[in-house]
Amino acid sequence: MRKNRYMKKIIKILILVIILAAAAGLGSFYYVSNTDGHSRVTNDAAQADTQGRYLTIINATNQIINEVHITVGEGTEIEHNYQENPDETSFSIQIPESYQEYQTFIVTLIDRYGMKYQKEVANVPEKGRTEVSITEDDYVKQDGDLKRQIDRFFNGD
Amino acid sequence: MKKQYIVHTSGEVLNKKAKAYVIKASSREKAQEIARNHFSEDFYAADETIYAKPYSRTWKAVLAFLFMLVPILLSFVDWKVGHDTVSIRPDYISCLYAVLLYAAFVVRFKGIQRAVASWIDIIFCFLIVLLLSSFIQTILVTKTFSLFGLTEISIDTNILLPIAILLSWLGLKFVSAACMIGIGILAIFHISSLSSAMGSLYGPAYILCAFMGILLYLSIEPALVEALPHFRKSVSRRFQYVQNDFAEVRGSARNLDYMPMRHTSEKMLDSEAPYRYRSDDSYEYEMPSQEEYREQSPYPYEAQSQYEKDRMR
Repeated sequence: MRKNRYMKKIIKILILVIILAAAAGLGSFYYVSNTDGHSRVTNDAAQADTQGRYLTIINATNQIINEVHITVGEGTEIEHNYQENPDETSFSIQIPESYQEYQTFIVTLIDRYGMKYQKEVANVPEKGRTEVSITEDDYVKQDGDLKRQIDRFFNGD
Repeated sequence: MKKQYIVHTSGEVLNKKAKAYVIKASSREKAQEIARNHFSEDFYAADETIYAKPYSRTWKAVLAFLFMLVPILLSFVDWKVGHDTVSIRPDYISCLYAVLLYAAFVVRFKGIQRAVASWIDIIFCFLIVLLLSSFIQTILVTKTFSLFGLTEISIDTNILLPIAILLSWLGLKFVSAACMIGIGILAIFHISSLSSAMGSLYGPAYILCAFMGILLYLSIEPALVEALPHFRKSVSRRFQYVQNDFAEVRGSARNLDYMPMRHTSEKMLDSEAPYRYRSDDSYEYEMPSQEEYREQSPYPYEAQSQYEKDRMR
């Protein structure tokens, strides 16, 4: 009788653990699928929208990019345009209308090792799509890059 | 230049004793002689009963350093899987655990004096702590889960492990076991992603070099000679413990199988009361005698066969 009761208890706890694990899994999936920036659109959609102002970022660094930052002026970041872990080689970002006055934008890509690539785009038209191709030549030196290069070597990149 | 020798020494005292000395000497013979003298002083053993065999320690130690350095250096690399980073780099907590583990070995077996007796031992002290630390980092991870996308839960097994140990001491075995299972599951996920991150070159290199380094270290560790009987006893005790656990689980499973039958028997043989209830709500089965079986059944052969069956059970 007592052992039966224990078994029932164990089974109940196991079911609870499975439900919690499943919930956590679903939650993390939901979380991961929602980490993309809201301003990121497909290139086709950006091309079709003639009224919007877009920057099409082309990742030609041969590295996996973990962060995309767009700044204006002295370094004011457009938080709305911040992107995390984009998987596409090229994607478009819509510039909010509130930044209409700015013509020059600085696009910064940070790869998975933390190395920085930066490019300034001047004379961005007020409507339509502007391409920004960022290559290995746009690499910007930072402190601690030696360690990042070692990591990159061992990871075969 | 004087080389280091590890001299395994044994001799007849009251019981046979064995001890390993680390001796600096210019030759094997000298190291052997010094070890004999030390052993004789330590155990008052007659010189002719002492058997001493020296092994060169220095080169094996250098080789062990090199092998241990490979996994230690590899552990400082940030390994990448897609956008994620898998790290087994030693940090404060993992080093603390490693120091505690190594300190337990030093206090219980090696001895503080011997742990810092020579440059070889001091270097080993650093390397072993770093290597253990990276092993601990492989097992203990911090994982963040998002619950229904509403809130994030961060599980830090670095903290969960001492809590599990504490709960076990306090007697909350089930909760402690649940924590340990959680740590185990997270460790498996971490090892799996680490394996894909390190790939087929650095992953095996890490494991093999760590294994060779530890093996070489153990071969020149004087405390191992003294600790070996304790280890053997401990391993056999653990093995016995696991065997008992399995036997218990098997017994529980069999009891569960018989449970409905017992209830029926309880009803049927209520007057005979073959089950003696204990104070802790469990009961033990008292088998009826062969005569009782005969009395219950009018057919002697059937009674005999039923008796044999129940007896076997």
